[in-house]
Amino acid sequence: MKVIAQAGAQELVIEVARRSGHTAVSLEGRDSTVEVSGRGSLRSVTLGGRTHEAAVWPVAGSDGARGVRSYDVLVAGRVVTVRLVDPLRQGNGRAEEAATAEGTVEIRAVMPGKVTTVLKAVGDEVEAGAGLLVIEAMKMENEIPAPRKGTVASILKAPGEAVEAGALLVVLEAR
Amino acid sequence: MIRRILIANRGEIALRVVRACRDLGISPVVAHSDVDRDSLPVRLADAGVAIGPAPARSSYLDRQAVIAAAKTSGCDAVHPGYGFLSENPEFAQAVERAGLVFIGPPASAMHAVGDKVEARRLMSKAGVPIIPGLEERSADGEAIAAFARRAGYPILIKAAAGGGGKGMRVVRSEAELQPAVRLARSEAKGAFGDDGVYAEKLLEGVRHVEIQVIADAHGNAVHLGERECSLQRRHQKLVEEAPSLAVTPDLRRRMGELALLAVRASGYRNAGTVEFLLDREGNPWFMEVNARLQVEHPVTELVTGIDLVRAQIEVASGRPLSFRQEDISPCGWAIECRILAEDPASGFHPCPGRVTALRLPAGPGVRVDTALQAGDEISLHYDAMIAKLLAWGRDRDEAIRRMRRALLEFQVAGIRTTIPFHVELMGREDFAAGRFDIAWVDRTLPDLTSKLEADGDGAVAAAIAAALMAFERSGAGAAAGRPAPGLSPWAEAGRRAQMSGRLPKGWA
Repeated sequence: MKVIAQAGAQELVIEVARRSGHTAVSLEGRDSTVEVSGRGSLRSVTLGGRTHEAAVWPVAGSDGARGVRSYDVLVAGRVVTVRLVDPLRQGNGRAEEAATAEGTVEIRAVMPGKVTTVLKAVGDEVEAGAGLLVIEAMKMENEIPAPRKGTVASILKAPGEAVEAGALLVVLEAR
Repeated sequence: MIRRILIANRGEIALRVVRACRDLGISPVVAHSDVDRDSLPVRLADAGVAIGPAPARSSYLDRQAVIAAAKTSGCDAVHPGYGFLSENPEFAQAVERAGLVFIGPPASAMHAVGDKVEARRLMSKAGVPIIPGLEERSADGEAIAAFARRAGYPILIKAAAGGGGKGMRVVRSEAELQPAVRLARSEAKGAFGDDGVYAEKLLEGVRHVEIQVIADAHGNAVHLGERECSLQRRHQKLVEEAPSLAVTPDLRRRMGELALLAVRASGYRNAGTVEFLLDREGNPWFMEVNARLQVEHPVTELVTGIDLVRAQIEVASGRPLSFRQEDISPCGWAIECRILAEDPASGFHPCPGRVTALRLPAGPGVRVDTALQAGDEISLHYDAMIAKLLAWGRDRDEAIRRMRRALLEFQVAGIRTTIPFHVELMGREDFAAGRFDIAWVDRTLPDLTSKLEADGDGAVAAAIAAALMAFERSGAGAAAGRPAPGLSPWAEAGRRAQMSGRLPKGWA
């Protein structure tokens, strides 16, 4: 299996294969001195004589669409999202991210929770930082602010409604 | 004599109480919501009693259900832990009326200190210095606005019934006031079932230093020294330590005496905490009394050697305290990091989800208070704290080194946690030098959270680890991770045994 891995500022070609009973990893097309052990979510990766303990898990909602899968990895007390791109399916997610219509701003839930209060109505003019609605998650109420000045074009959630991470909450018409 | 205790809580604190029960030869029973049926405290207790569905209001906050659970399971006492019903005097009273022992302060003392406004009045009368603030709780924002105009901004809005930072908001200008009051009230209502709020002048450049106290029913009261809890984000404590770099032996004695004044003034019994703000000149200002065991109690346990939960149970069963003031002499340094299911890299947003793998740190000077097991689902219904990681050292420097070691050993897969934040914090010069106040984390947050992403070899290792997992999850790597293709683990073990028989000693 060959993938392009993007992790922070790094972009690497990684190839993983089964060779005579163990897993061989090559980096950037070279048979490297990488040694790996562990299974499932806990891995150990030795690079240049130093071992890195890694906890790895798929990012929720990363379904491999358009040949991209994302994983979160905790390594040496730091965390990074790794995007694995299938080189055979180059249409990676970048194009879609930029596809939001000019002039409109989508405000999405960054966490799952429950809408407790909607503070604005469609047609309201809001300043940057003005509270749009309040989401309760883990016993804390979080006011979701407008990222910029604009007019509320639509509100997609009502008080009491549960929201998933990434759910569209409000659309602003930027001014 | 207490023989069987109902633990009306969940997570690490429920487990903490289960363990104290075991040490005392008392039978622990854990009340649990439906989603907590398989949790570690329930498994390690003698029995679990289901008290309702996941939302706390229908289970952990349901007084009748909790008391009924205690009765039906044959308990003679209730330990409320912290949060939930722990500081609810009506609950304490109902427990006593049901013929059970409430392991905590008497309802009267809880009343006296539980309402923050009443407590300020009481302490002021007893000679404990209080922060200038509103003398009464406010039904609307008007009285608060008037106070703010009089005292000058910034002010702090607090829940009258509250604690733990819930329902607390800083207001720096009149424009922010009304929305802040609204959010504080709503949060207070949700957390404490009481939307009363009041306001205090916000003291700046201060440290949060609190004194642990415990009192028995025989008139003995002892303070167990201070804990420094200045490292807070939005009034939520993140790191606590004992002792405090800001407290001299003289100040410790003085604050201890003030704390005991507070204990006597309120007729307090059992374990409690008197919270102070310490200004730049080293003057302590009374903030509030937390009428319960606190999250951060283990740092005090580590430096004093006193088991606070055991002491709570002993005091509640009517025995006198087994130690006197002169027996308490803190030894070494202890630090606690609260590990939360929150992502520090994106504004500490909650990260509920399933923990797919877990490796807990251990070793010299390390204690982990957690109920977390691999496979557990972190539910949105409850607090985000998944573990308390503690390190003890002979001095602060050793405690910090051990904490760093433990944080790097700590592996959690499936959810993001605050581990990277703590790693960063432990490496900071300002932290090492003790240069911080209660606003330091909030002030430094953008910088503190800008370097949490793995880079260099760490990022390469992460990329490889991710590729390995993807490989295994794809059909191609189905056999990966197994010892050898075509051999079952049994066959492999057999072959290994065979081989080791042929090899010289020490080679197998």
